[in-house]
Amino acid sequence: MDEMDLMKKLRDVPSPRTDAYDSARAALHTAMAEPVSTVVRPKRWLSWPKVSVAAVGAAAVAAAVVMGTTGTSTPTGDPIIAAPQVVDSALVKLASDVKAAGTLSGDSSLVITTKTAPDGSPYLVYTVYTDKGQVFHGDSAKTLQAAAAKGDDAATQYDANVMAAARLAATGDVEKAKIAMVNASPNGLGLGLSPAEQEKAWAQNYEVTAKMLREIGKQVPDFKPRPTGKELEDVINNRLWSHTTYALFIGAANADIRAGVLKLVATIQDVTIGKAQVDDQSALTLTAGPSLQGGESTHVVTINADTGLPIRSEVFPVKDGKPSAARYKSSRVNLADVVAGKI
Amino acid sequence: MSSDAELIGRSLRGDTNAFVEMISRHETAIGNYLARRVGRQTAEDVLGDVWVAAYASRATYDCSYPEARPWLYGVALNRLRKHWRSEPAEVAAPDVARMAGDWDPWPTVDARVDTQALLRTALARLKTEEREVLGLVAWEDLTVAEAGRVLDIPAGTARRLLHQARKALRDAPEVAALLQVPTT
Repeated sequence: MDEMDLMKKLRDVPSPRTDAYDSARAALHTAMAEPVSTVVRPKRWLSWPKVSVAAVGAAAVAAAVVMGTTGTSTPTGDPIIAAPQVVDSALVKLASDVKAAGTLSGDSSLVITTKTAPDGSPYLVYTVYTDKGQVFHGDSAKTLQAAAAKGDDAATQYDANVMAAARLAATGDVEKAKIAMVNASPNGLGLGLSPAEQEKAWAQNYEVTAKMLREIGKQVPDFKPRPTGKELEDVINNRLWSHTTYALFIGAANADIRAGVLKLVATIQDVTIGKAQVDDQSALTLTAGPSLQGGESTHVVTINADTGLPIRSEVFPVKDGKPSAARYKSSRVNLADVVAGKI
Repeated sequence: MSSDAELIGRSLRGDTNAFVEMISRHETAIGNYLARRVGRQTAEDVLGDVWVAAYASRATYDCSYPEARPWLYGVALNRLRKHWRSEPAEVAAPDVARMAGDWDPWPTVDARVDTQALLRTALARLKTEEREVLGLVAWEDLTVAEAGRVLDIPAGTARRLLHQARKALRDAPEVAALLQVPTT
């Protein structure tokens, strides 16, 4: 027996179930029938639904998730629009300091993320986000260089949307930036629209979702009215939190992005701010509790207290499941240096 | 029977059923590959994305290769990388609770579980590319050249990575211990 024989002992795992193959084929048929649209990042609100709907489903799935959490009361308006107040001055002060310090030299953010893959192995993700909006990924400096050299731009409309919203928050109207950030991925909330238009958007989104679910043979949930009150605020703030932290994780080395993210997070009342010492750095912990995570978990993002750069991200499930974590190292680089393999 | 390359060629001319036929030849292999990497639940979630991505990129397929399975592994791996990237805080962290104590009440329950845990510990220390090549050869029965094709690296590089991976595994104390005792 040698090491390859031992390896083969890890080979047997539970295979996907028969209906999963059927669903996957259905997703393929759907994609072949319609133009492929951009797949946006799913919300962290609930786990990615079991249906595979890459081609047409991202927006619709988001809507389905929202609809699954809604109440039945009469709409009373959007708190995010009605009350865009900033609730934590420490973050705003830090945002101001970050903005004043300005962006360091270079034309791109390099963020190196360390995660643990599902098989327990460490996994590195190298992401370069250029100030022009390109995104290059790699799982090593070498593969990152290859992606950048080939011009393998992985930027999505979602990336562009969250970055634009963060910049707007840093340099302009925070209220408008909040709406733009929430709307960075398609949804049926219709923020920024009139109440009548919001109801119409909600209903249209349900129809899109229902159509998609019918096409892949899934049960269509009953229609539920658009949420209201605290429930709506939580749904909106979940998206705001999810999108802003995503912007921080890929674009942190850009001062405008960082300052904008901090300003936007400061407007979420249910995010609590704490102080910590991490790896000899003064740090702030930004904690989004279960009300912002669909009741399922608590998400803690730790940032450097002086620079606002992300240090780590941790999720602690409320009930079952393991805690999870990712660590971040951010720096400014020149894309030309990445292409030349000088990082 | 048409080769995979021929079916992909027909799909590029509008015959979508040809692409589905090609997929059906490999869906079990790709499904199991995903399950080995991310577990059954996530594999089921991602499988449709793999087919959609393969369909969207079929124009880039090198038709000099009649067999498409290595290409599909490459597409699947890219989808996994994307999945891991897009879920920054939802991947499992090391289970420190399990490592906290040295008292183990189950030493005789399932020796295979111990073997797996020890092996996974050793695997976790390999470099990403070494682990990928090793997994493709040991679990997916690909040749070293095919593994290189999956990872878009020269066959010689894949061979070197496999050699490094095997040596690192042999030298790992956990694996050395396993190789010296009978395992189930």
